[in-house]
Amino acid sequence: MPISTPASAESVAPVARKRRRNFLRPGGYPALPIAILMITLIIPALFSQWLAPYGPEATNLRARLQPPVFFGGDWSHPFGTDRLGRDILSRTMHGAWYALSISVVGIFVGVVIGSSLGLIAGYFRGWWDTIIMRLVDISLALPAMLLALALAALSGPSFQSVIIVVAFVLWAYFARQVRAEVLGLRERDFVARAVVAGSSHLAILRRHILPNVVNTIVVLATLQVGIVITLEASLSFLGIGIPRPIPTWGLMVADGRQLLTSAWWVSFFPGLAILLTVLSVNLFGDWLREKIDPKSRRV
Amino acid sequence: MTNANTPVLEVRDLTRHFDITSGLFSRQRHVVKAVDGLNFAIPTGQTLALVGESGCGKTTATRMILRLDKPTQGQVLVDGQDVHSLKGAGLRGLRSRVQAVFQDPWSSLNPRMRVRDLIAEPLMAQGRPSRKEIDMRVAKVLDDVGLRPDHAGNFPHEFSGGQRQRIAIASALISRPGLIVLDEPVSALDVSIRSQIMNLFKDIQQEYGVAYLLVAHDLATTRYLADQIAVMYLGKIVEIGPSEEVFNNPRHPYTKALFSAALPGHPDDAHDEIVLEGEMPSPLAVPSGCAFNPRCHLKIGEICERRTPALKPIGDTAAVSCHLY
Amino acid sequence: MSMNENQPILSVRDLETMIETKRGEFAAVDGVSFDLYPAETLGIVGESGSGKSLTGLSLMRLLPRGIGRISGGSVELDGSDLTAIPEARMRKVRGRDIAMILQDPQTSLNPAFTIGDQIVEAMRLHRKPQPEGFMAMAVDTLRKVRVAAPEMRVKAYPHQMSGGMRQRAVGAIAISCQPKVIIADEPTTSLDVTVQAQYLRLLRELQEQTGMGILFITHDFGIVARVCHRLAVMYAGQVIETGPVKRVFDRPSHPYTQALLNSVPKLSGHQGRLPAIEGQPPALWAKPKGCRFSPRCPYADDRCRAEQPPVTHLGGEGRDRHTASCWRLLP
Repeated sequence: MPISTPASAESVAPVARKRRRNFLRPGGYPALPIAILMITLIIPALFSQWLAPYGPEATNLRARLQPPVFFGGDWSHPFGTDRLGRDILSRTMHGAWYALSISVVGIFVGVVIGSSLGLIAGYFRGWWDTIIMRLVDISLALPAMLLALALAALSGPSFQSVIIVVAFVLWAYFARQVRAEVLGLRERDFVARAVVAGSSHLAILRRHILPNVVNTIVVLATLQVGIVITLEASLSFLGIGIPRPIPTWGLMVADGRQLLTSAWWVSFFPGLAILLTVLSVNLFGDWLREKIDPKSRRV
Repeated sequence: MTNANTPVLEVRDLTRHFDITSGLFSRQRHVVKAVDGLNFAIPTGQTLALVGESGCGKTTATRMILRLDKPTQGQVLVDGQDVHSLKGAGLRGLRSRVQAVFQDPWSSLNPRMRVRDLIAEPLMAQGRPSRKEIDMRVAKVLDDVGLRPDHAGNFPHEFSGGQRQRIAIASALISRPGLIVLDEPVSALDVSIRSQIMNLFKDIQQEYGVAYLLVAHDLATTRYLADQIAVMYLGKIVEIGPSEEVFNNPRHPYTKALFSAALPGHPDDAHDEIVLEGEMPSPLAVPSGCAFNPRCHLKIGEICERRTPALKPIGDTAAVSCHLY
Repeated sequence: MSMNENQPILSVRDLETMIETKRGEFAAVDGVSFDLYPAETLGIVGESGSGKSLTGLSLMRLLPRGIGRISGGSVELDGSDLTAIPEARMRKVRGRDIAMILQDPQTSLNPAFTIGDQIVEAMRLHRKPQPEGFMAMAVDTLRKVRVAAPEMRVKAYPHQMSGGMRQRAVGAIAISCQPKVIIADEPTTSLDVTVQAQYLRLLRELQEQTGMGILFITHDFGIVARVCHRLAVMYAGQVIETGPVKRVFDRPSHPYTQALLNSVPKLSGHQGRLPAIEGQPPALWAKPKGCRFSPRCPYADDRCRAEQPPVTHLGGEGRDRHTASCWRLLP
């Protein structure tokens, strides 16, 4: 049949398909539940200092390995306690703060470096492009764990080294994505028009290119939060991330590793926190993309 | 600037070759002569149209004239100055003399900028005019293209295709250029809107005395707007001359075929349709001799395959490259 | 041909197609009626947004799912109403009885298969193999659309062909099952002038050989003047004038048709200022109450703005029938 996409009806001007809000339907992301889930995760992270019933490192040796409420425990430690009698709920809440700050700072650094290089590579092309894209290839080929190990070996595990690892893992993705987008944009007529008008490179980048890639960058950045949180957890789990006794989720899961059969709650709650956070942030990112990324909006 | 007889635009031996390497393992290099030795001039306030089918090199030629691409050889003179040797202030001066209106008003206007900033872009690039002066000049050109000054605060998506093209025209006008390159300026517009825009081009030419370089595939549009016509085939001009003369008495066989293929204005306009064989050959494999010879219905003989015809002047104003003349 | 020459093969009556927009659901095709006779080319002319392409898609029942739906009227092909038959039967009709050629041959062809494979695929659905096999039939079909060296071209992939050649291949797929009706939606817009001329001539020759009816959707009156026998002018979802091409060009009766024909620059003779139509076509959601053209019409009066004009019969019957919808045509 000589028929391809019947959607090529030019007369169907700006058709926005009315979508029924439905979780099961691909592309249907209910905004409200995602928002509620996000807020319940962000608030404890931001205010853990005041909201958490105990300090993250407060030990209580008399209440060691107490099970969660409804599992033989009581309301004094709703999520139970660990081997040193530290409150799991409080530690999970404090962990959220670290997960969040590492994501925000790490992604910010990665975005700034990656997007700038991507802009330069895509806009100026030539040898700029060659050099930057080779660096991207190298960076993508290098395992993050190896770099983390090297950094930990050099300067010892620290907050900063985790940020460096995160930024290092992310910048290449942003550089590549932004470059691809810019390559397309710079061939658009409005850029040609600006060149003919006599605008400088800086003016063209600022007025014509950047505003048109910002959406992509924001969406991409949101979708990286999940990756960063899992990355940070794995680094901490392996002991090359943020050092003890700071309660990151990865460390907490690692701590409960040997107790899985006897005291499952030690690993379970931080693990659950990782799962829920990654899930909700990814859903939010997909929803955001649907909302603002014109490419996926096209019918 | 320069004396009144200097053409706004003069193109001398303009040539653009591309190197193409093909083959995954064996590196074969080809030279594609996208534009090959163009010569023409546009006097002040006049219109020259480049006519030809896709792949004939007209787009590459306009890109070099707009300084979006560098010629392999030859010169582009605007007001007598070679634009490809300009730098700094001289270049900025050129930018204000040559502007462009592109085909698709949906892609030529940045969706994230307001009409005022879109139109003022050429002014901003020239230096830092005051806010008041910008507003005044924007209001003036908006009025000239038939839009209301209060449209300045809106975004492009709030306008229809025809109105968007008016915005693009306003922006091209604001720096008072001597030449505007019109690249298929009406073909993306609705039929009932085209005549409005074509009339606008004529009004603007009268009021501003601007010259146009028109690139269009619709011959009726070309005839309506152009004073001179240059017909291109595979990177070369095969016929050039005053619009009336070329339309009434096309000389080159390709021009004849092209005009006969144009759609009629009335079902009774039956004429002898010259249907060409095949399509324009790939610029990678240009036929030897006259590039048109394999499709030509008036081929003389061997000479067409062996010798490349030169562009021979006919009278004072026209020229044609064909062994028939 | 066994069918009666003066009996339409395709009869569209009061066709209404709703499309869903962010502002709600609107009738993009708003009561369209026309007939297509055997061996005839009917031009459906209109601007973008006039509903001409959606009319074509409605006839094929290929409206984008969840966006468009036929909400009224009938499409009679050979005595059966295409709007009423089940989808399974419609699939048999598509390609076999009624085929479509779209604007862009690039997207109409699958880049992963050879031209021959794609023609065979279409034939396999609707035709019995000849003794020499489907591939030989495909070669034959390519020969019909004047593809040079068809034995070689059946093995070619779309990217190995030029634009004109690709559009011929799309045409070959469309005629491969010998349909009675072909809907061609701006099939030449992506082609160059000389290639377009070749293609239009080809369509005419194929029609002479097979007697198929062609519905030619276009915005270009030049194409109508060259290839169509009759035309239907659409504006804002309605057919506002229909009749034999020569008659309509000589005596356009609707102010919109008159204005459009006048505003097109001519190839011959010198022209002063082009008469322009002010304003622009209405958006789907902002159609005027009375005559759809009244806000742009120089002759509009209060009645035009209040009530939709009826269809006025201006002469001729059958293939010669000329009608237009304008209050000024009534006594």
